[in-house]
Amino acid sequence: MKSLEEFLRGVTERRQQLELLLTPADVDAMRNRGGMRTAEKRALLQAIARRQVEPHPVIRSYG
Amino acid sequence: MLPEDYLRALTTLGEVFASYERRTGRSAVLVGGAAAAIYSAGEFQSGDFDIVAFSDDDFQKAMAEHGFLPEDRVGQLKIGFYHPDHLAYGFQQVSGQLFDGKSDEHRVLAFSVAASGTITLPAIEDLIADRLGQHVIASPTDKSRLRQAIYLYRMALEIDGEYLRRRVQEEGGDLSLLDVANLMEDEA
Repeated sequence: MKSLEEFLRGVTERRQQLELLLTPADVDAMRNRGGMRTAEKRALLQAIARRQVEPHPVIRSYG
Repeated sequence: MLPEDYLRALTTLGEVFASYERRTGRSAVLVGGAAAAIYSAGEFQSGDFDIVAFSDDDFQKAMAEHGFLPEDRVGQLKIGFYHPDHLAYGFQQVSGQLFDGKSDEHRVLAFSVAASGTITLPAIEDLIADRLGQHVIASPTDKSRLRQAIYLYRMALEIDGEYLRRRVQEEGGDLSLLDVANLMEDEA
């Protein structure tokens, strides 16, 4: 099995080969906006915050 | 590059994944922004670790075994877990099957972490499709997930076009948006 370190090194090398070098503004533009949540996840989080009934409920949306 | 503290959190999470797999014979899978962060080697960064694990009970036991605590800190939503050594990050289990059972689980990628940990990621096609699907339901002014999808698409070593097309359709996304020109036109 390949190590995560090896994989990350490969990704970095590929980025350099492709010259996909991003500016800080590019990186910032890829950061999730709007509370970093989908509408579904946001609604669920709000409902949980209101009720506070489950110690660690599961959710159904990927952030 | 991924920050050192992020890599340390990943290492601890890798121990949880290994423990979970020993218990269940199945892999937990890191999804969402954290998977995108790894696929981009840190160009995209996320403060959340979202994890798909089918057995809630076994996953929670594996988390507890490695020092994770149910979120109960003041000022935090009582959801997911935190770890005293990785306070900057939140860890949440996503219920159900990986991508609602629509993805091909044989395509997941597993990597060793430190001495005995494992981190498993979805296939790049699934992640691109997920980002495009998330883009559809995000705020109209939020292009972050589309940018992530385009970046992942450009970075991918190999793409199964047919599988990507199917998965994008299933996630409700638009494959044509992967053309970076669309993003630029949209923002002009």
